[in-house]
Amino acid sequence: MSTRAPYVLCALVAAAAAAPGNASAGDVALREGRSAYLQLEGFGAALNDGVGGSNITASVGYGGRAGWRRGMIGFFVEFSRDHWLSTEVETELTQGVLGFGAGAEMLFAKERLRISAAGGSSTLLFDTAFHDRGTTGFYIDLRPASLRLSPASWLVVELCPIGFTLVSPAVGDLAIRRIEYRTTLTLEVPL
Amino acid sequence: MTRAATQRILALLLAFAAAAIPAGASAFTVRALDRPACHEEMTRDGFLALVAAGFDAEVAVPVPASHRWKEIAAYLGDDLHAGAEGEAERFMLYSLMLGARYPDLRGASATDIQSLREIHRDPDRQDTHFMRAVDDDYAAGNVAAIARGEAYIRARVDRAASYLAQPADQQIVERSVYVELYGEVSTPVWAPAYYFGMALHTVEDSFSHTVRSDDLTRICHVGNYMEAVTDDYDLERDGLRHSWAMDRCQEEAAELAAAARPAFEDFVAVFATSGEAGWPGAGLDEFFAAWMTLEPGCDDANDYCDSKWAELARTDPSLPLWDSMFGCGAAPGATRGDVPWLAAAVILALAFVRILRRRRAAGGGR
Repeated sequence: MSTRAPYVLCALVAAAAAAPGNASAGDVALREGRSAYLQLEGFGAALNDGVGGSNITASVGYGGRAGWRRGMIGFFVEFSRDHWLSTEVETELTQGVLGFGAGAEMLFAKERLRISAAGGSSTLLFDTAFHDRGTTGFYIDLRPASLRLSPASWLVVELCPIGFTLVSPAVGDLAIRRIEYRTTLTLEVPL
Repeated sequence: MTRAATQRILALLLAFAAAAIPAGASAFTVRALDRPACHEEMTRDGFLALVAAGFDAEVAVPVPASHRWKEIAAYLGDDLHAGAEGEAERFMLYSLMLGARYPDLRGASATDIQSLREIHRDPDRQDTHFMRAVDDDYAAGNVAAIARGEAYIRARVDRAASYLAQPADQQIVERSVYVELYGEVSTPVWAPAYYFGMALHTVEDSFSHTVRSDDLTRICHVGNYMEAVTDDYDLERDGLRHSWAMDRCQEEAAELAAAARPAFEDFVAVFATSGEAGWPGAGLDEFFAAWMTLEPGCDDANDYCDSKWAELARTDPSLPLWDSMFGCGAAPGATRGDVPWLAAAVILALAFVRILRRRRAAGGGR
């Protein structure tokens, strides 16, 4: 990640926000028939507090998604890398978890809004106090309202201000249940 | 993700933490957020001195069948158990260490700001940190605080003794410890060492929360946290504000911590003593006589009887949260953290989350 990355990101968002409001000049037009797409995203989450837990538990990560839509309904498969900040004993950004899953989505308001739900497997990529790397559980990801803008015909920028993700790579007696309130920025390329 | 990006993210998050966490923490630090493991290392060194003096843990300490304590010991850091040999020694040191960490955490996360604030602002439990209670005012407050701290230490040792009198299988009890990603986890501990560790914590704090004579054997003055973090604070009445510098055992307080080491070893040595009345015998009384007597007549006007530690005790004092965040304190070194506005944002966000939770809880209860 270069030092210019945040500025490029801001410029993209600004361009999306400044885009004209009619469909022919860059709006997200409701596409008839079928369409496929690819997405790349980055996310961060702070204040992932469970009751009685740390107040500064944070995470950052990225992911990719391949989807298919018919009208306003779509389905997708996805992966994500979620790095966790460890603070309790020593401070380090751990390898976190690797997620693979699938989900469904729905678009509203001329495709300016997207709601989605996904779930799948979540695999630990580092050793914890009670579990070894490779331990696999599940995750659930809910995004109640993602805002979508299309600055160009080949690009959709999507911002999910806050989503809810339950990551549980270890289940059973001693389980890891981590709740993340993620903010996600996604770039979508229609195929 | 590149190393530079990772470092940038870590720097931001640590800035939040650095500004916010000290608001709730006090005493020689426990291991968390890259802070030194002061209490743990003092406890370990005292224990190793006990073993070097001939204490045989293999004879005295029952070891549980469960291996969970080993996993938690490894999680806390293998270095904290370095030097302990054999399962009995390691289990005793583990139990001592969890006891020594307990008064600062009580089973909560070391980065749970609300819990830390409640723990360290508990008006009924200032004795666990060897500090003045709210009513411990003026010179008499030193006498009262020392008496209360001593009473707490004796009570914890008595609790340890009561477990030691029981059959070996009943000496192992389950206690809670916070483990990152898992929350509160139950672990077996050897109760005599666990409660002795709590007492040891207070003994250790009696060096970071007081102004002592140059040789550390006498207490000139007991510090204050309860009023120190409010606007209703008066130096003459309430005593010297708690000092963050005194807690940093590997920085400003390194000399103090090193000089206090014989006292910690003397206290842990009490574990191996006994008398006609049973354990711990006269060893505990001898410890108090050697290290916990009050030097009367010391106050701010005479620089706490010209103690060499007075300047350190005045450095980086605890202040009301607002002052410490925005640098309004008059005392030198008063400001905390490099990003006070970010800390304010964090705290406001936390308050908002808490209000939402309470509303949900109230709604659910109807």
